[in-house]
Amino acid sequence: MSKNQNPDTTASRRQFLKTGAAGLGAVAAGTALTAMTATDANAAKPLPSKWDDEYDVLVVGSGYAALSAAIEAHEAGVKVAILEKMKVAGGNSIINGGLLAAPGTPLQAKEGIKDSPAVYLADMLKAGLNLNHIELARIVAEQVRDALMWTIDMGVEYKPRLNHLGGHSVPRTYNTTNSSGSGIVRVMLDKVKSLGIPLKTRTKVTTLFQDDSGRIQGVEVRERYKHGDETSGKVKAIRARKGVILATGGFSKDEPFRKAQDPRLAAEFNVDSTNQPGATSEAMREAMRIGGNPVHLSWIQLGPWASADEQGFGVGSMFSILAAFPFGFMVDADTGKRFVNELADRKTRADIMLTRKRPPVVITDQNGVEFASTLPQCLERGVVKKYDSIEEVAAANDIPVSALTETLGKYNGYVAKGEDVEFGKRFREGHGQLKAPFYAIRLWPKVHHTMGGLQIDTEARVISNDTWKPIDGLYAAGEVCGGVHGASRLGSCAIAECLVFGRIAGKVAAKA
Amino acid sequence: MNRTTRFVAFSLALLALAALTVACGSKPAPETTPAAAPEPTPAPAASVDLGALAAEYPNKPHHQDADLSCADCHGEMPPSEPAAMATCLECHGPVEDLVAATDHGEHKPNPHNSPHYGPDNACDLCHYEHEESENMCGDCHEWATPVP
Repeated sequence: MSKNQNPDTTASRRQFLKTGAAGLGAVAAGTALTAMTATDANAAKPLPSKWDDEYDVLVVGSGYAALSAAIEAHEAGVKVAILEKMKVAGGNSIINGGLLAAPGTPLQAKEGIKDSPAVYLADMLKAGLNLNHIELARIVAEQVRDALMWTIDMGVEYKPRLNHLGGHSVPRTYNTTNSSGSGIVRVMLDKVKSLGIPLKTRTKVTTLFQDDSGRIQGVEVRERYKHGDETSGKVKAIRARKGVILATGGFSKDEPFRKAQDPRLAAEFNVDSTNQPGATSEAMREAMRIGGNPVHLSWIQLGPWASADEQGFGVGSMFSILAAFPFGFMVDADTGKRFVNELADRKTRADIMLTRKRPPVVITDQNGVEFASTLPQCLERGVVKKYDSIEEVAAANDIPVSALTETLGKYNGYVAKGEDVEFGKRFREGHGQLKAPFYAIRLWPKVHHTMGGLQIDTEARVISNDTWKPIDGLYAAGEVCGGVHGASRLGSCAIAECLVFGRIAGKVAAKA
Repeated sequence: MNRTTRFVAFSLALLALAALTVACGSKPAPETTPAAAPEPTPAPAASVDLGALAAEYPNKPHHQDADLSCADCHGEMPPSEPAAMATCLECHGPVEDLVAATDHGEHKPNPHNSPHYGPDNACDLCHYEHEESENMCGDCHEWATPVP
């Protein structure tokens, strides 16, 4: 994949958004997927004459929400199976940064930080532009602390220090010791295995079966499915006596579907994504086919912290999140000036960054990089560069040197005073005035999270827009749902939503 | 086809199944049903054409050099399931050795020990025997390591 070599023009902006062969492959696959499932879109499928297998609860997907649901359903005493369409388990959950925000936690007590579910909820609503389904957001705010402790009891290890992410009023974000979601998911996968819950990979759910009353009876699957080939695998029917829980994630990698919601995200604009190739919309659309109500589909989040010099989430994103944004400042490469609060919510940052002509540059120093966990890899891959002076930063990135030097001086002045009068950024404990050597990263927004999806009630039941009541036997949890985050999700609140509603779905489905 | 011919075809099918059972020696016969199709079918071969099977599913050169047969990895003839990971590891394992073999230094990507999946991935997520292998890391990452 080509790294960006050309700064400046709008045309070359598209150059450095190249996704390379993998991205194009994903686009082609996305197109194929939509084309294949469109054919029988509204034809009701009759119940199979016989079922190939039977369980009480089927969980579709294998990320945080799915694994939480499966574990809770099993502990409630019912027979569960997990169905995963890709050849590996974990979806996006196993490749993200492993950041989880909760109010009133042991680390907050240790660091003397006052917080509450009310403040957490207020932060979610502010970022969400008050489009959030408030009862759902409130449940996350109130139950996430418990979910965090549940993961710790299971054996998940977190760093002994909190992080302060954009849009949060106070530091409240836990991070796994390996700075990856795999720190949680692999513990949960081990738990699933030890409980004897079958997890079938390469098994794609294509159809939700309903009886005449509209009650979900089971699913049709393709076993030994190969991602991108909708005719692959062997068709089987699996009965779900109590219910089906959809925990199939979002659709960031579904180019035809996402560009219909937000034309900025069409393939021709070479917008990269942080997601795994399976982040597509088929399962969500199957639920919609039978009446599941869609909400907020066009609110699609771009991660502002991703590096313009590597593909996907990479190693640069965690550098920006943990070090550069909290302990540094971001400038427009053409003007050398700041243009936004580096700790504003993701939408605020991403939207304004997209209006720049070249990737903005975020600059921090030796003090700031102490908080970074991926610095060696970043330096090795050229995602972050080290400079002996601010003049060198300017020269290497083609930023006007006097403007950049002035910005540095002003920023340090705000740090000294403890108040950012220009953009209102809150300075963390330990943020000193920046001095050489400096570390800089070039950023460009990447498609990251789809806030929209299926409407659920507080019991994770999918709501039909024929009846405005739950579809009997159909549940959903995690990114496949819409409404929790409104217009824009706060960083480290996705794992929160997934664990909380995954657990609810598992418990409620088991009781049905 | 008239009734007599149909009967002959059916009998030959049963004989072929018997021959197949004998050919497999002490192993239980693979689960097959007699070719009792309602429509007449031509008589199948008296035994599975192993040559044709080997031609359709060639081994990788390094496995051919080791003179491995289908049964060496699949454990049954004819094979009905992919080879188990434990079988791969009989020669290529343990997993720790593979992790070490692709360890290019700290902070360098190691396909056998990624931050996402650790050393837990099944061999055949990337390593295909009867077709070209795929680099699963390449689904998201730029590095195009050749996969045997």
